Parts: sequence; C-alpha cells; structure tokens
Amino acid sequence: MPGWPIRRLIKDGLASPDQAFATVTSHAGQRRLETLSSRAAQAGLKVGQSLSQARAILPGLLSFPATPAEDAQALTRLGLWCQAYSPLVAVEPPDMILLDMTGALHLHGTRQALLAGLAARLPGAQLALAGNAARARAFARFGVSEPVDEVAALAALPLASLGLNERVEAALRRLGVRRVGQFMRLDRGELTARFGTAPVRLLDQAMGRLTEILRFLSAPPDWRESRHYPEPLLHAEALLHALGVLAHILCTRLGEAGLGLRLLQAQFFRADAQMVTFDIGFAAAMRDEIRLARLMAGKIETIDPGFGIERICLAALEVAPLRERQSGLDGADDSNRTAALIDNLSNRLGVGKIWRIAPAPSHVPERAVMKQGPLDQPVWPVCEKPRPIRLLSAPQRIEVVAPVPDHPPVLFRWRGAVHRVRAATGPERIAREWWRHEPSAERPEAEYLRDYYQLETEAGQRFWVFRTGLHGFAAAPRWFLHGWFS
Amino acid sequence: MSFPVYFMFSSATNPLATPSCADHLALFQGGQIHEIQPADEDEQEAASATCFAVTVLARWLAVQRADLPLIWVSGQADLYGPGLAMLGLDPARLLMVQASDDSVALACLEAALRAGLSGLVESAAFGRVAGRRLALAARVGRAMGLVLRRRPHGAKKLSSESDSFAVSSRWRIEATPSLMLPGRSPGRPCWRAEILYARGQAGGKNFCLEGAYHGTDALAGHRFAGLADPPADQRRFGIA
Repeated sequence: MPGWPIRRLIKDGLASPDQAFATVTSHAGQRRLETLSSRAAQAGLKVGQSLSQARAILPGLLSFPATPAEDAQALTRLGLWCQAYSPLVAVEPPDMILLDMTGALHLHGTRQALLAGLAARLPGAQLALAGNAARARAFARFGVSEPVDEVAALAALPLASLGLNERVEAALRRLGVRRVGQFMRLDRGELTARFGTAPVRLLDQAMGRLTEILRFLSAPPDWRESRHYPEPLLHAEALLHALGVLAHILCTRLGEAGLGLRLLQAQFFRADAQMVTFDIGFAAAMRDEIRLARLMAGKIETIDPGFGIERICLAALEVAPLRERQSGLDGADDSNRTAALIDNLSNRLGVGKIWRIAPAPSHVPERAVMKQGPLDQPVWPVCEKPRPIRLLSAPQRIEVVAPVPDHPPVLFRWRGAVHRVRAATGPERIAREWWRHEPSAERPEAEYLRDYYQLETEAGQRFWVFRTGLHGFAAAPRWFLHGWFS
Repeated sequence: MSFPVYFMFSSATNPLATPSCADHLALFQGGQIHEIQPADEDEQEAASATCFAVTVLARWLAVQRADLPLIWVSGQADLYGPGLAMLGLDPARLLMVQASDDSVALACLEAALRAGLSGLVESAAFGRVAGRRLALAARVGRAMGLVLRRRPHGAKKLSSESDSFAVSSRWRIEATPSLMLPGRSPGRPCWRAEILYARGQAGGKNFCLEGAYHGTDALAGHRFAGLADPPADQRRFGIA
C-alpha cells in the first residue's frame, strides 16, 4: 500500500486527491516531509526535505503531522479484512500486508483472478504474487506483479528491494553493486566477514533457501466456518439466515468431534474493507444450534453492515469436550436450562455480572466471601457466629455512647438519627490479618482488632457495629457500622 | 433441606378468627409473583424485608421439585453470604446477577422466570407493565418471583408507588423488638408482617413473625420454654 498515510488522509476526508499535501515529522526541531501526495511529488518535492524549503517551492502545500501508530492500527484493520482471502495475514508497518496464500489459491480461481479481485477492491495498492514472502515484498515494492521467472526478475531489481539496512546498502553501492543479481554473485564468506550475517540471510530468504518467520495476525482457530456471498448481505434477516446455516455446519462438525463451544466469534467482512465482530461466551460447553441462533439474534443489532457484508466467518475461539447426554422424558434438562439462562443473561449484561457467592479463607468479614463462576457449586461451612444479611463494603463511622471499657453502646448516632439500644450481644473480637496489610489509622479494616457487637434498637432493627482500638491507649476507640441483621 | 420457622401471631381484632401464619405464608406459591416492601425507606428497614424474602425463598427451595438454583437480581452487591446461611438459605444455591438499572433487573428476572428459575429482584421502580410481564413469565415457567422494593443507592425515595395488581400478594415488613433473652441480649429477630393485598382475600392482615437462625432450631424451643409466657394475644405456631 504505497503512501498509506496519504491514502488514510484522503479516506478520512481531511484532504482531497488533487491537493498538494504531505505528512511531516520533526527531527531535532526541524520539520521534514515524510510522505507526499502525488500532486506534491509532481511539484518536485522530495521526502526528507524540510517543510520550510518545501513551502518555498510550493507555497500552497498542506501539512499534517505524521501519526505512525494510528497508521499501523489502520493497516492492521485492513489486514483483518484481508483474512477473508487467507487465514494467514501478516501486517508490516508502515505500508505492507502479506497474505500467505498457500493452499488457499484455488478458492479464488486463478492467480490472475485473485490479483484482479484484490486490485478492484484496493485501488492504488501494488500487488505481487511470489513464491516466498521476501520476493513478494520486493516485487510489490518495485511494481513487478507476477513475473514468469521469479529469480531472473529478482536479479534485475535494485539492491534496495532486499531490505538491507542503509549502511550496508550504501557501502555496497560504493563498491558498484547496484542490482540484486550483482549481489548474488558476490562471495558469501567475504560478505559475512565484512557486513555480518544479515545480508546473506536476507538473500537466502529471497532465494527460498531459508525460511522466514512472519508474525501473522491472531492465529486462526481450528474450528471455523466461513462463506462468501457474491451479493453483499445488508439486512438482519439475511445475516441471521446466513449465520444459522454456518452455525448448523459448525455445530455438526463439533458434534462429530465430541466438542462444544465455549467462546464463539462471528466475523463480518464488509464490502468497504472493514471487519466487524461480536463474541458470544457460554457458561458451559454447548453446541445447540437453536440456542446459538437465538443468542446471535440478540447480538446482530450491534453489527453495522455498512455497504454490505461479503463474507461471514464463525470461529470457535474456545472449545471444550462435550459428550452427548440422555435428556429427560419431558425434554427439559435442569442443568441445561440453567446454563442456557446464564448464557442469555451474561451475553446481555456483559462479563462478570453473574456469579455465585463462595466462602473465602479469611475471618475478616469483608474478605470472607468471594465470587465464583455461575456454574460452580461452592461448599458453605455451617456458620456459628452471627453474621448480617447486608454488609457495607466500607464501614461507616458512628457516634456512640458506651460504658467503658468494653460494654456495648447504649445509644448511637448514624446519619443524624439517634438509635437507642434495647439489647446487645458481643463482643466478638476479630483481629487484623497482619500478613495482608499494614495497620493504618485511616482504614478501619487495617486496625489491630475490632470488637463486634450485635445491637437491637428500640424499633427492633438490628445493627452490626464494631469498635476499633481500646480504652486507655493513645488513640481513642472509634465505632463503625458494618451491616444489618434485620 | 427443611428448617422450622416459628411464628408469633397476633391480631388486633380477634386472634382465633383469623387464619394461622402458616396459612398466610402459604400465599407464596409457584407461578406467581409477590411484592415485598420495607415499611420505611431506611436501609435498616430494607434489611428486615430482605430477611423475610430470604426466609420465603428458603422455604420455596425446600418444596420445589428440581435442584434448580435461585436467581437474585440486584443493582448493589451488598448481600452477605454468611448471613444467608444463618437464615437457612444455602448461599451456593443463589445465582447472583448484577444489573445496571431497574428495567434491566426486571428483564433479567423475567428471563429467569420464563426459564423456570425462581428468584428475587431488588427494584425501586415497579410499574404496571413490568408487573404484568413478570406475572406472565412466572405463569409460563411455573416459578415464583419476588419483587423486593428497595431504594436505589444514594436516592431519597422509592421512585414510584406500587400500583400493579399483577402481584398475587403484597407484603409490608417492619422490624419489631424481639423477645429479649436473659442478660439483655436480643432473641431471634422478629418482624411485623402486613399483608397489604392478597388476591381473592381481604387485605389488611397484620401479624408478627419470628425468624429462626439456622443451626439453632432445637435451642430456640428451649429458650422459649424458659421464658415467661407471651402475652395473651400472642400465639406460637410451628411449621416444618
């Protein structure tokens, strides 16, 4: 994608193709041109020129700050869309996308048909199809689309096509090496001795003698079903029907393998080179296509089809073993029903909104419970100590009248209201977990110890309050409200 | 699991002429929804109503056929597991759901009822449409739904008065002083329950009800035996 930042500016509507504009970066306080629009290049501007010089040549030059990170993100998005052609796509900023077409070429007809199709969808892209990544890179960069003899074509290309570093390339040019063919004829041992192993390695990769490691975008999952639609889909009904067909195929395949879905991603490849997705998670592994269709129907409204969707892919990102089970005579299975409800709610509410309360190994009240997954079955011990039904996450200060040293309060004031205590039990002493946190005067949970009392007021309401600190010490004891019994 | 709940029953009019507490609690049936209101909008009164609702759910778990979990939909996550265990409801059987607002919470309970899971929603708003929808879902799923009216966090008042007659009964729960044990320590918690509305029955019943803590059932009877006789207009009923 030559001039990718320029293309982005045009696509975002910040500049028009018939304007002269450029992106600029600042080097040591001086702003220099980085990429040029075609009109700017025609005017004789050069990459690396300072902006003030360029303005002197072309007074109407528009400049935009270069945004390499955003450009790379946009290129990644385009790369995701390219997964419609091949599952293995590598993105190389600033402007290169590599598609591994091994084994996927026949799906697109001939090589010419593939190149023509891509050229029609990505106008302005320089496309090349070659035997390995290094050659494809070189051919795309220098505009050779599909040579008959790849080695000969490579030999004819300038040295820059190999992607050597600048210092090596300049040194070789001083020696009179201009073409890849000349470079090939040099002695390997001498090259290594003079420039290190990198130049020879690059040459070997281009010649196919050495494999190259590419960083592909998210490795495609094993369980995916995709289908191409010659007529782009626009309506929710059509999309749902297509998803239903794919879900049927996927669930049948999973059933044959004895697997169930845990996490499913539906990917929609739009006609305007964008990919949109939604995810569906499952509490328990499942492969019920009717339930799946119902969940997808709830999610489909989040998908913006743009100008139409050309390809849909259902990818099972996580699978788990799932055996067939005998269902009850009434057809409804209790655990199945619960799992279906959890899926329904969690896909509506989001992650982490459904849980079971489980005991945690701590005697500090607010740490004695934790959340567990909705299908877990925590085991609760029998609790002998009185515990409230509602617990405040942060204890609140109360003002208390209580006989010293450790009697329960006679009355207390909370939020401006005075409560007279009719009956009380306590204290239950709970000490700080010294291995967890340092003692702190601000945080009541970090005090050395708390004495808990259960208080019943004259209205019959029951409060759980505690005192931190002891009488006769430097700091006066303080009282907190921590929960309600009834 | 079953555990006894002891009820103290008193009526302002004629205690012998009104049905027993067990009959009142028999109002909680499957296929219906019920509304439980705290008498006051204080948080401590909300706790009383919560305790009553937990007791009702624990009874329901004991009688319902399948080992389905219960669902508890709330906007605030301040329900405390060990406290549930004390009231006789196994916290492991509760499926907690945190909803962002009342309409989402009501929709969650509706989905659960429709799937046959009984449960409770804590909600401030409870309009007629929501009531109808929940009642219909409960009937379809043959499950019991409770609506616990609760003031939203930080708000001053319940957002609307309840006016839905889709509920099968409407209760108002208020804390009331317990029978004190020797040494000025509180006995088992007591609540005053008022039936504001019960379908097909005259409303306005008013009685006092005492909860039992899990694991202290046998003890509770002894404690009562050792106490002075309750006043003449109070009677005690036990159900298993």
